Amino acid sequence: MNLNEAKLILSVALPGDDGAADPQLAEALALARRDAELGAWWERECRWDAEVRRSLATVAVPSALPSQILAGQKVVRLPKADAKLSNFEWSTPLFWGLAAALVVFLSLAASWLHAKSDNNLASFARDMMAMAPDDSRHVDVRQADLAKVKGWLAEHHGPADLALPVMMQRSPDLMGCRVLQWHGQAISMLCYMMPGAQHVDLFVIRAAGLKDVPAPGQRVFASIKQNAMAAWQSGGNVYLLAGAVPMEFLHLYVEPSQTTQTSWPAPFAGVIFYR
Amino acid sequence: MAGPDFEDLVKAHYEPLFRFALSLARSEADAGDLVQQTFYRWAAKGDQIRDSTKVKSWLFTTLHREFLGHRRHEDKFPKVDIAVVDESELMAVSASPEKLMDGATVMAALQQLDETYRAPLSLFYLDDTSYREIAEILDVPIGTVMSRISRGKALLRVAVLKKNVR
Repeated sequence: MNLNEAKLILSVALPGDDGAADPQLAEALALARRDAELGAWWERECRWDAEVRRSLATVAVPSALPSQILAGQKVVRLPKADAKLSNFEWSTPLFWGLAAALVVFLSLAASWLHAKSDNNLASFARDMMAMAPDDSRHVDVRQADLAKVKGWLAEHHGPADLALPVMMQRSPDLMGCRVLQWHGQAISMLCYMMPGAQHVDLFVIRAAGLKDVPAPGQRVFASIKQNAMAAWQSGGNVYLLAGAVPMEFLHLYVEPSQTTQTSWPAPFAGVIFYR
Repeated sequence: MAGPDFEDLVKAHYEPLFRFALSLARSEADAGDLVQQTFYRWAAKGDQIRDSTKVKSWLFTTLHREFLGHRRHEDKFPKVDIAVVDESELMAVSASPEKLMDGATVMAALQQLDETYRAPLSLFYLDDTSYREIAEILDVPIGTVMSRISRGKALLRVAVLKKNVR
């Protein structure tokens, strides 16, 4: 072991580590004891490390942080809370904090129950259509490279194992992507600006997260207000392509020759179906 | 074996987690959010951790992933593998900047460093995390962590010196 190697090993040693469990560190420490230059370097290094640690330990941490964390955690665990309400001082901040937490929890529970009963393709389509026109933050990243988009989606926990129709794979019109949350599930959204400035969005959700999904090989087409939509299932994902574009446009992109399905789930009133 | 009590867990780890988050996110508000999100993830999934010695590592790993997940402009943080450390970087500087250091100065200097060095260095200093644990938390090879800590210390020293000179 030369001096440079010894310095590298010593520089990552924790205070008080005598190398008992690390033969390389033990060897470097022995060298530091024998070599005056290395010994002096090591002494300065230890002083520096100790001072940095001491300094960083004085960096203030918001005093309210633990209580904020614990208040949030109570919301999560309130259903099995073991607090004894009879011991509470009803006028204390703790009571009001818990009361607020209960309200939040009940809201979340109601929302969750609603979500459970509403996890079907129709509500997915409706909600995605409502989110799509959000121009202020339409995509999180602007990126035209599909491989990079997939990488970004994977990193942000959205479905990324995309099996796209040929026309959408080779389209040079990919603008960017975003990850949305819907009923606790991550949704990948890919934004396309097709020829003629035709803007469409592709939403991808795990098929397991939806009821009444199209059977593999089927294509569902529907239209509501000014928006056309196409949905299909492939490789464990459900894809929803939507935009204020002519229906023929979507047919072009999702291989209309394979279109077999026409029925859209019942809750979707006002929809025109296409064969 | 029952997992640690949530309140005890928060008390034991929120300070080093916050300081780690602050070094990464460079903003108190974002750091607080990262710490909260980390503990919420624990509340949802932490009981899957049966080995209590893995708890700290799990929390720091989760916080780091949360940070990466929230980071929007990834091109600002290029990944650099440091295979070789220049000998000059391992030499202690002749001045003794530590005599003038305070927490705010060191944290500000640390926040200036590239994330490549900032994350391992923060873990090394903030919670006496061994380089082997750091490699696990950041999911990078041990040798890379060693060289990043070593070079990061040299860069931090220079950054602190500059701040003290001003």
